[in-house]
Amino acid sequence: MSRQIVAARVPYFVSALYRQRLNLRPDKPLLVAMTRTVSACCEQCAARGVLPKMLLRQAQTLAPDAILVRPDLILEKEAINVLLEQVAAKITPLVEYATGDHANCVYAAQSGVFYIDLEHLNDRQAVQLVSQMQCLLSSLLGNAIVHAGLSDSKFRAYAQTHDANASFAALPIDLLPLDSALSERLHLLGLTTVGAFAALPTDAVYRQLGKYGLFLYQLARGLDLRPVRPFKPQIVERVNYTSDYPIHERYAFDAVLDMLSNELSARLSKRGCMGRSIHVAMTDGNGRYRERRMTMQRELSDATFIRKALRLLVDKFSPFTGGVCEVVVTLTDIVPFAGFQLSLFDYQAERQARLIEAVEKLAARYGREAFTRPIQVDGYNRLIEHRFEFQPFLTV
Amino acid sequence: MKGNLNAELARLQERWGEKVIRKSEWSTQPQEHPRIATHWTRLNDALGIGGIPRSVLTECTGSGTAGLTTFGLRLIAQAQFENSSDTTVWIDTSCSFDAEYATACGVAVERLLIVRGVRDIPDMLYTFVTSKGVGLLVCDVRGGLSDRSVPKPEMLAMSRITTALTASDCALVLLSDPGSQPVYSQAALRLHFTHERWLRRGRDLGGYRVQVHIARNRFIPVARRVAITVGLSTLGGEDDL
Repeated sequence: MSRQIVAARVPYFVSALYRQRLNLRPDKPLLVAMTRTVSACCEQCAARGVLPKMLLRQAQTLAPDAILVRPDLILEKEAINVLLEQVAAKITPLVEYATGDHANCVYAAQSGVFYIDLEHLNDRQAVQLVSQMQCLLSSLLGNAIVHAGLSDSKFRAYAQTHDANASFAALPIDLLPLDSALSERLHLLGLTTVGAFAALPTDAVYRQLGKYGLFLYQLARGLDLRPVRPFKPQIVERVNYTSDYPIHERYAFDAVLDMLSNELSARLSKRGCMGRSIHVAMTDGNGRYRERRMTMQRELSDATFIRKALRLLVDKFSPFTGGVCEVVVTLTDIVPFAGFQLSLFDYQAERQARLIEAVEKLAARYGREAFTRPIQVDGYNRLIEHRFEFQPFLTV
Repeated sequence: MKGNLNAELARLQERWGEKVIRKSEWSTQPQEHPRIATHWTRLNDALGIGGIPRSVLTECTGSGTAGLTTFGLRLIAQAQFENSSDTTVWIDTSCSFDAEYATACGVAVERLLIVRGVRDIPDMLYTFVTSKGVGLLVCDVRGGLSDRSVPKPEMLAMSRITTALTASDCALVLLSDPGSQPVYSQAALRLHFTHERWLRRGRDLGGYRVQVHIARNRFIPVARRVAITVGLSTLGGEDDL
């Protein structure tokens, strides 16, 4: 039985998401923009000539009556996760959302593309599921129109949902996932469009560009045979604090951080988990939003360490002139709790003994001075080379 | 056509055994293999088994400031963290090991054995691997062991080492220059590190971005590229700059 992939394309996905969240009328134009540039827009704005990455000033000239919405990346990520979870629960866990680094995503400007692998279904069941999924996505996104296509390749399935798949050939070759060296090489060969690259003979591409070149060549010809990456819901722990009045004093803000870290620690210990990445988002009294993320070397769950990490992160922000109104702390990369294994058991001693035996053998051949171990002598010495000393391994 | 192919496959398998011929299939499930997780979650995901595999040879190549030393040190820190009984060895052919930076990368340096000034690297690797007393062996041969300096018998000795590795739970990681790839053709995993750009935090240099190209992976059939961030923070944290 051949593999079946459904690609569901939701045009103007991001704007549909904000429209639904903010309960806006469908006929009202909408612009999603940072301080200077437009990150997404709705269908009405696109019809007036607004494009992503356009300057906000230009976009507002074209669509003066448009409602301006600030992008909220956490909200977007959460909404995508909810959508994927609902689709995965209803149909299959083999669901993938086309992210920014995906090759096909460049063709799907402002659209959201979901791939679903229907490996164990026959053609008739798959076609039925396509219509079900269209209904499901439409209901989740309000009145958004969803196009869905079915094929044995991700690219072909996506192309069926697209209005102008013939125009792919004229697109620049840099839209394929090329590295700088390969891109330069293709440009030197005079290959500037996807169509020109796709017209080359297969054996020549393989001979000149190797296995990765052949993969790109398949993409250019509309064949994306990579499997659908199964959706894994991300487990996070999030706490937030909102104040009616902006907090200006550092000691008061530290007390808030302590409270949040205690809360996070309590939740983690209840679950028996540890987290590794910390994300802090803060909004100041002037409405300015700032965020920072830090990935720790080791997973942590203790309130003391979470507090220390939080303070370290907060210190990296530039000073808040208007005080802090809202703090959101998110802990990600959550894993089950694992304690340190102490050297209590015999096999560890055995292992160490085997290593010493091997080093003794080698030391007899190459000399004892070749096998050393760094020991901290004076950690605060002004000269770096005096802080550590290499001592012979066998005498330690 | 497909029916004929299946029938022919079945006939061959019946005559010569199931292993003689089979269809190649894309695996969507991550494979289970003993491994040491790297410091970077994205890289772990891309490797398919969640880290650097044990019992095989892993080769990492890259030019200067491509993050190879940091990668090796972080791997040692992770091995020491995951399993305290894992003994770790760093073979430093160029005598450039920096204990200060290793500590900043989270390595418990007092539990690390440093080997310097030994020319017969394959013989030493073989002794360490067969002793079954080492959990992670990082061999930094950049500048110290080029194609020219390695005589033929030593190249042959690499196959002896990879055979011995299969019987132990040691992970052998070679950090080498880009030109020395043909010497260690028996690597089950080959990663190529390329420096992409420097990352700045205000006026300071905060780190750099590195592209890791998984050129060969026995555990997953697809070549992949991952971008990772190497932070230069000495405070113990790794920032996603």
